[in-house]
Amino acid sequence: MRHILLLLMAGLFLGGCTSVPNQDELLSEPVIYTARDKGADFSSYLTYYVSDTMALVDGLSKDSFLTNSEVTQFMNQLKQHMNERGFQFKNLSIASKPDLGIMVTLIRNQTETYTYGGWWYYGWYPYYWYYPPYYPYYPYTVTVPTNQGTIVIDIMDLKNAATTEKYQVMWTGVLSGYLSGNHDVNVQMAGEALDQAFVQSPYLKH
Amino acid sequence: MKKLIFSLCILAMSLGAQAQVRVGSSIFLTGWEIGIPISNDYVSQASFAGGYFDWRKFVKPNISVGIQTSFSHFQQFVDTKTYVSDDQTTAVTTNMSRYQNTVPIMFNTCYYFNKMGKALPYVGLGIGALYSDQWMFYSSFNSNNHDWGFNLRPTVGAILAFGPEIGGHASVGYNYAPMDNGFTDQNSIQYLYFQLGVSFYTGAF
Repeated sequence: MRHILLLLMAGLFLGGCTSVPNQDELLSEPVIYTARDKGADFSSYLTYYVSDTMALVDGLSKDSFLTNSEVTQFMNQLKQHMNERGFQFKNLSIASKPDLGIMVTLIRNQTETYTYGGWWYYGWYPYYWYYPPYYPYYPYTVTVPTNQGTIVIDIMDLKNAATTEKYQVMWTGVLSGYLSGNHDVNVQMAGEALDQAFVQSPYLKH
Repeated sequence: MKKLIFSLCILAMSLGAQAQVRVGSSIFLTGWEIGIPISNDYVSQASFAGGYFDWRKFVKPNISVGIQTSFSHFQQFVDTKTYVSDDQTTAVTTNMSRYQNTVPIMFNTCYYFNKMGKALPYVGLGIGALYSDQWMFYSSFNSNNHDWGFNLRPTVGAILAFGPEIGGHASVGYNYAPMDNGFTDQNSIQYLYFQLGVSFYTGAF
């Protein structure tokens, strides 16, 4: 009797140790992470350029870029946010030379989480044809979850690129959870995540 | 509630009654522990996943010394919220599951009163260390922090001598550890606990 009771109590005691989080519940909402260069003064930059395509880092596909209506919708929403914050869109040209370059990358079907900072980058580098092929430089560290599909938005300093000989990254938005669930909901989730990225970055304005 | 427990302890001590337990005998207690966090900005939901082990040796008919350990697993799902770093450079919006496991390991001393029927009431104080292990799960990430700190546990309870060797046990107490959890500004881990279990007291009465 004594031993049975002891075993019962030990089982109850140890049973309390076993618990795992509900992944479905955790992944039901996108995660939005933003980081900025502490020394960046966004008010000194006026114009920006962003492509209509989205760079693709995909563990299953060899495609480098995404071009579809969903991407266009997302890019237009991004431009709208930038315009509302006082920035002006400019095409790439020697005459216009936008102050900021925005790169948008979709990372998916990767087996590892990316953690990058400094000169490290996740697969391709930005090309602004009137500059030498500088690499981006991150003044902070960013960790990117890749198993759910993540959109990474980098805003880089083009205005001072020729002087610094690098594309200094000034702001990064990591929108995670874009690829979970229903296709239509994904676009909606990505849009909502983008809205939130700007909401939690009030300093991002001209 | 804290004041109530301390008041009960002082009241019980002032009664000055004498319990009749054989000096040199031992009592072993084990069972279920429920924890209710107090002023906790990390996890505020009660823990029903916990247990305790408590061994006591009587050095006087009404005083025991011993060691005790227990375990409480607190967890809470927190809806989506934005967290901004102190220097305002980073922000994250996410939901999360927060876990906190606490394991106090303490020396204890208890003072016993005369048996009231089959119940042997007591007041006690545990002094020792608390191991606290915190986890935050969000998206596919997790963050962990764990630490040791000083721990204090005043308690009131009763050993329920139902049988000749085995009986019951019930107590209520307050756990206080002046240590942070690594994630919030909170500088102490506090919770009320309720213990319900069995007692083994061969030869004690």
